Amino acid sequence: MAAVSFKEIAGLIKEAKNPLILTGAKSSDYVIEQMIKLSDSLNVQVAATGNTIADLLDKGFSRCSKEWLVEIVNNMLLSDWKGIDGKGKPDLLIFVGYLSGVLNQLLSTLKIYSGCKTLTLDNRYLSNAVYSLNPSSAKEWENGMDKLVKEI
Amino acid sequence: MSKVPETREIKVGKTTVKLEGLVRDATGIMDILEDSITDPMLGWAERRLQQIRVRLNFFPSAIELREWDQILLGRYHPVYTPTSEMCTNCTIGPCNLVGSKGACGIDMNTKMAKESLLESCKGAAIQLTHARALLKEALKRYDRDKEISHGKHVRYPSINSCVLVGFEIYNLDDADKSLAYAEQQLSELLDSTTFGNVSDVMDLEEKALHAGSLDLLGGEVAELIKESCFDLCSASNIDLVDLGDFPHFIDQGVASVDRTKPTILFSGNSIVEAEEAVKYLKGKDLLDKVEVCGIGAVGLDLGRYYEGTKNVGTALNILKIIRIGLPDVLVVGDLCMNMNVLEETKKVGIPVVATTPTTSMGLKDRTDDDVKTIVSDLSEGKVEGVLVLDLIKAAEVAVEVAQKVCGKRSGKKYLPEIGKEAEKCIGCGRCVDACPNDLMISEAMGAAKSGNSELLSEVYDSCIFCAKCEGACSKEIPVMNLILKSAEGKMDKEKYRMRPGRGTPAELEFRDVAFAFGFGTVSGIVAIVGCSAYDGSSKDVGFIANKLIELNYLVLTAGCAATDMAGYYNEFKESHMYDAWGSLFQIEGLLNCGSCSALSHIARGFYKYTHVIARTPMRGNFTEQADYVFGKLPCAVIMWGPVSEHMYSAAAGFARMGATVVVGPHGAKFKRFLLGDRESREKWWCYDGFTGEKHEVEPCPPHLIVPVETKEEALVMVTRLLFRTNDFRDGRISKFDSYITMYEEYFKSIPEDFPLFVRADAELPWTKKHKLLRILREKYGWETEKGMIKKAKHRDGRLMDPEQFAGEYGIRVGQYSTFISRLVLNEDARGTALDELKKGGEA
Repeated sequence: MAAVSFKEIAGLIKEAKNPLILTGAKSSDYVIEQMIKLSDSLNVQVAATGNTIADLLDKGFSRCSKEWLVEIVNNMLLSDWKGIDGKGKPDLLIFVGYLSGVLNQLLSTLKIYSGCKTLTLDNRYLSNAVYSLNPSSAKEWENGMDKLVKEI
Repeated sequence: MSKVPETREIKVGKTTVKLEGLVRDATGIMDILEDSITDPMLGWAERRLQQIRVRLNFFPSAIELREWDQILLGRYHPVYTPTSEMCTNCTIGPCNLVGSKGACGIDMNTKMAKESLLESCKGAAIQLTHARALLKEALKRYDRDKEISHGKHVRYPSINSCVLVGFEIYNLDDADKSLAYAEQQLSELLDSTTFGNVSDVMDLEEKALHAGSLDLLGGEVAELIKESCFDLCSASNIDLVDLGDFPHFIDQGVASVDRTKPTILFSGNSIVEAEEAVKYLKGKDLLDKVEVCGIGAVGLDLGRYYEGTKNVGTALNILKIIRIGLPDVLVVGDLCMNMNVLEETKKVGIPVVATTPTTSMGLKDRTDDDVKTIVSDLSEGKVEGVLVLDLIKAAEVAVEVAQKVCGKRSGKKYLPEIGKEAEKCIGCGRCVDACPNDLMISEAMGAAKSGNSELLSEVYDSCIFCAKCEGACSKEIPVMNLILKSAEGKMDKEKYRMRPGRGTPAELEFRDVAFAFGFGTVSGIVAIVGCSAYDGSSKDVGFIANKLIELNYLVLTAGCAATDMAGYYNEFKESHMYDAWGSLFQIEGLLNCGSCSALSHIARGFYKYTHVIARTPMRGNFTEQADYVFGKLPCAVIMWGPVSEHMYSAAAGFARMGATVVVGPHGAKFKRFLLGDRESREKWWCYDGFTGEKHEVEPCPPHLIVPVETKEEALVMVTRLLFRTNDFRDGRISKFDSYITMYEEYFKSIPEDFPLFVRADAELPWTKKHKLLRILREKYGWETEKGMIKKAKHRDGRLMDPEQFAGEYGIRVGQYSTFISRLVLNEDARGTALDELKKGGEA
């Protein structure tokens, strides 16, 4: 719903009490590395959807688990879900590496039925996310990601 | 005078059966009912009539099958992906439905359920319209008593009709009756989508499932007519020894077309016109001088009739085929046509002959004109297209036009040079934003600007040829044409062989593997279907099918997915898909049933097992059939690519009969999934069929219709969805083996939900047993020792002896289970059945 900058994103992520990072099937090697850093800084779990669990484990990262995107969405609709690490339902879902049309459609489910905060980190604006990055070129986006990860 | 309800008593063995007690309303169906009970092949055994409370449904409306639908929807809840927060269904609104109701009282879930039903109805309408059109054409050629030949090897004819409606189709008149039922039902279902008709979400979803059953019924009628009246080849008459090389191969791919010859391209469901063209050419001794090609459904159907045809691709490839100027004339039947087809053909000078009212494209109806005038108008470019509803005439027009146009078009260049066009690119990235697959077109255009078209050629590999990139381009660059130009070399090599489809699997094939299923030595049957056109086109479905065959699954396919996988290269076997694998419904076989109406053959196959293995009576017995499939038969469908209305309704039809469905990779765009919640333990139960006790069971299959992101996820998910409550020991072993093997291969870990499916240590695969027992012990708190479970951990946290655990969780191996209370054995029958079971007899 709101297009945001990397700077605003940093604030949103820091404010969240129990965020969850989700890495999707289109995550590049670069994205995986950045999410590992982000997860390390925030000490939060990575829900690896698509095949990304293999990439994360290959890099020696273990704060992650294989999840199915639709099951996470389904769980977010349930009142008593305790989150993938049992610490409670996430208050911010951070998505990266998804086919935009597919993610946008599932974001609409979250927006309409769960009311949870969602943030997309890919460089395409997704209208059904509560917060979505302004579109940018691949280079600008990588610079922004580098800064974001450093700041957090 | 008021009508007295009819009653009738019959004897089955020594048992007296009151027929009116078997149905809700027996008016007008007594004969069919009696026949259904007493038929020696499809009817009821005396003992079964004694064992359970029989309730049959003939010509049922959705609500009459609610008994079953509520079981499914009680376990798998709909999850919707709304495309809008607003409801604009009536003129009182628009109403914002987020957190509030609309002016008519509708809420978001009900609105989405209505949309789901509408989508399913549209899909069913496609099949029913196709079947009706074929019936109409058949009745022009034959009388109503024209026999529908099921072939000598098909013991259970027209199973979809038999199970759902209550009778088999033996002639065109029966086909008409079956269709009339479905059309009436469709009308009733559509009524429920309208403003003011009060229904709740579950009502509407039950109806959406019903529309799915109608879809499969329509497909079956269409297939039977195609096989009996239009000579499409069918395995049902072929002896098993000859089936290994049946049907014949046809050529697939654009490079298979000899472009020096006049070329006719048939699209959509235009099999009758295509056959008439072949006959016309044969009559003039011109068949080897003209290329008769098909795309989409007709590409498969025509192959079942004419070996010399060329299947040029999946339906969604139509713009590619037009842009490269392949056909001299395009014949447009109904279904799966790009909205811009006329605009596109006009650009390259391809005349169009439309043949159906549904895809008439605003063209002038020339049905009553003489062929000569129509041919002259089209070939001289006086008109861009015509509508000719007389299919024999349309075929003649197409053949004549192709021959006249061919010479004029030869040598013409259709695709622009890349350099000049690429130079216009300013790298704004709008093409990427527009691309449904997020392809890096902008980057590729940048490289092309510098003279390197390699990246564009890579984009070609994943392009679905929708041309959205062109619509988005502010510089009006013909982006898709540049992508095509960059891949001309690749297209020159697009020539494969495929088997075009063979209808229903033959009886003996089923019998051969039926008992392997009964005792669980085969992991499952997986059907791979769908419209294709996704990122990675031709690679994903081939990859999925190949992997499943290698893992000894029985693999079926139909529709554009069957065409799409033809180009997949198996490196180990050094051949393409259809050359790499046999055509039998066996291990190492790939059975292509045909076009998308042939999805009904897949459903027929699933039903067949219930009869072969359990002798479950078929006529009007949908609920018991579905109960069996859902509880016992490991069958699933993978739908790959964007979800058309037809795929939506077919998914509903398969799900309703108990087959699980995986949709991807655009699956999230499916408007509704049916998902299970494994933590809600109260939802995972079934009846002990002997005692009627309700048992907690494993959360399997975990979902009914579920989306995935990648082909690897599809493979793992499908193995997960094949777990069934009533698995035999060996079946559970092989399912564990496949699920864990694939999970480890692609996700490099052990699935965290595997303990939920553990009933006994004897069911863990031998090769993984030590590892799995260790995980159960160390991570989940089970007690294990020397390869055995000493204490199993129940989901409620209790540690219990294996024997107690088996009694409280899941169904014991070989035990009869059901989800329907009336299918629990009657008290009188229990003693006998248990005695027989103890003696090793059939229960």
